[in-house]
Amino acid sequence: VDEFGGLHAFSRWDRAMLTDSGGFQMVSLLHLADITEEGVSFQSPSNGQSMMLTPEHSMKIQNKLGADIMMALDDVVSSVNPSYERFEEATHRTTRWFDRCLQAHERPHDQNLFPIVQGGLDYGLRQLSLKQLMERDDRIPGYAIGGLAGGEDKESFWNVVHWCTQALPENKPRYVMGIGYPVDIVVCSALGADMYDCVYPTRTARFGTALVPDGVLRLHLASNENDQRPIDPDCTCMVCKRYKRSYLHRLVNRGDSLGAILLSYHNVHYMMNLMRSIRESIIDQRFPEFVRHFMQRHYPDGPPEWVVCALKAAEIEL
Amino acid sequence: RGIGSENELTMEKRAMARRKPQFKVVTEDTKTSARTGVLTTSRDVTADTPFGLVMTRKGLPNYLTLDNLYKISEAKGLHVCASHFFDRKGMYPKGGATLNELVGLQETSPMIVLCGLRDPLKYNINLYANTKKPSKSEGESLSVDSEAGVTYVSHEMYMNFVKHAQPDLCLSLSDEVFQNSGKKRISKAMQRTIDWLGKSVADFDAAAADTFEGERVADGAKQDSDALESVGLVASIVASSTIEENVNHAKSAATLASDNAVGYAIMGLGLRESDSFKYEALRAMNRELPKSHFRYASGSITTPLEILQAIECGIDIVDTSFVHELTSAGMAMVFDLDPDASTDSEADDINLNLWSDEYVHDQRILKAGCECYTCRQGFTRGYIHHLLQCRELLAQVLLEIHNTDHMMKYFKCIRSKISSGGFERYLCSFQERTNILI
Repeated sequence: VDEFGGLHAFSRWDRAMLTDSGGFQMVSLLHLADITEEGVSFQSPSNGQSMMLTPEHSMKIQNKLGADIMMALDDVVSSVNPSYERFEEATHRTTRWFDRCLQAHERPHDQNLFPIVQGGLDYGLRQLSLKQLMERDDRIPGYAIGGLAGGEDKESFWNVVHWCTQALPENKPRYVMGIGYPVDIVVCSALGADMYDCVYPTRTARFGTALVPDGVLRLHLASNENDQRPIDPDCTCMVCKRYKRSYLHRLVNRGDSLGAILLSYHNVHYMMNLMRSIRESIIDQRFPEFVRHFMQRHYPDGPPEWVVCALKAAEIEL
Repeated sequence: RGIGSENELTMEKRAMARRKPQFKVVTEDTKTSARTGVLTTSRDVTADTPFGLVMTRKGLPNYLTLDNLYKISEAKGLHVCASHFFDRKGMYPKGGATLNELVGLQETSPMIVLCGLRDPLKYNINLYANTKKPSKSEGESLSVDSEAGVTYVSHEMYMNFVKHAQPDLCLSLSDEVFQNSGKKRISKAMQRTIDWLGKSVADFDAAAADTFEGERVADGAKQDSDALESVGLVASIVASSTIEENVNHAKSAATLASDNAVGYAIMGLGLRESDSFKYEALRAMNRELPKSHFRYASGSITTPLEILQAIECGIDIVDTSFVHELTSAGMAMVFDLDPDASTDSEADDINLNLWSDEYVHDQRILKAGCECYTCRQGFTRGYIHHLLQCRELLAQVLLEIHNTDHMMKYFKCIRSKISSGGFERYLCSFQERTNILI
């Protein structure tokens, strides 16, 4: 990639790009990842050889990839690990590894290195992580909130986000990693988060599910067979302008690539439109109204408890 | 009806004729049977021939959304398979939408749509199964693979689809069999094909007549006649195992259909005949068919050389299934279109196998000077290799864009060679370069 001039040149994408450290993928996708103070040792997926991903190594790779934002290597605790001691160790180690990342980062003027706030679902550990990282604030362009999107309960989820956004500096972006359901994004935005990433919109598109204001539309269901409406009559994307549900139903059913492509197109459009709507309503000072309207469409019978509580904490009454 | 209304009828007839697709020969090569022409649809969309049709799945290209397809400026037409529109609930759409509306082609689409039953890519006619024995109500049917499994499609079912879809051109049904089938089976195939052609001619005749009758016709029939108003008939004939039979078969078809049809489809090739037989058959049939009608051929006319050789025999429109074959194999078509004119040192490459490790570090675009989106944007061989290794769909999208564009440029080059009188020379030099077995 470096030979080709970096990731932007390689993939012909001249807009913003963010790379992850590789830590999460290793722990979630590979067998026998063993975490020590030095780094994460794992078995190479191509030849089974023992390899080590250290903070220094991750920085080197991300420096060569050349994305605009890069993530520090954090001590990722597997979500099946309930031990407080392990979470505590991970919190401290994440800070130590961030220091090593700062040291190893060779392109601080081209690339923004974000640390990741850890601490599991524990208030004390989260505050500890926040405090330690913010001691380095003068070298930090933005903060990521990690350790969520691992199947934890929604109540804990919004609380952790809330603790972090309350504590983190106002003038730096807050990036909640792995969040992508529209409801989650709206709630986290209300709580003061700014950036998200998720495979959900495009992955669910490949399985025939379209994102709509009311929630989701599963196009492979037989109920769409004779439906002459577009996915969303209010959507202005190319797919909704040209295609009816009945035709898309037939494209997605047998995994024709065009079905996946068209739905991905719509879902990406939906997400971009959602984010734009959030921004515009904030700028226009009508964000609470936007949130109420959004939740009404999504939950005609009333939103779940956690949404109500989270929005209350964000000073929005439903 | 008095004399006054007869004049009206003639004028209406002329107006109707203009509403149908038209074909006109422009240049005839003096040394071969190749020619250039212009095909015009009822919506005044034109395409210069010879050209190739973009293959589709359920009406759309495999990996290209229509906005991407339109950017390939030389892409002029789509091949649509009726068999893609049968599923467990039967045929769709059941009405209310033409094919153009269904697949998003819209009124202003620059694409010509040609519709046949079978899929040239998959050969989804069940060649081993006999056609279904005729029952009184249904008539003979063709056995075709569709998403509903084995489907028996009768002439009526097929024409029902055509009436709903309203493509610019529609083939009549043909019975295709292996060329080494028994004599009896082959002659049955030819007879059925002629019978189906007769039925198609009758359908189109009836539609034309109904239109003139105006208010006298019941609503249902009027709708039918409206449906076929802008559709051009392409009369199918099947190649058989002897030249004599081919000649007679073509003659019958010419007699039967030349008034109604705008072109002829030579089907049944690519079914175990020899190469030399294939071209002999094409030439023999070409001589019997009226010059003013275009020739479409399908079946083992896929590689660039085969296409060139078919055009030499007088073929005007072909399928471009080769584009799909290369794309799905992760290959890019890069052969030099005009070696005499170029000084390109990479001119020896014909296809690139992008799965190969030789491209890991290759920072070149697929083909120097290519103006397709993939090459203009600077996507490198190394990147596409990487996409293939990662099993990313984008690899196929980028390759299909490039391969389709390259194929269409090929046709443009062929047309210019015919127009300028350099076709035979081009063909010979192409044969020398690519046919290692000659």
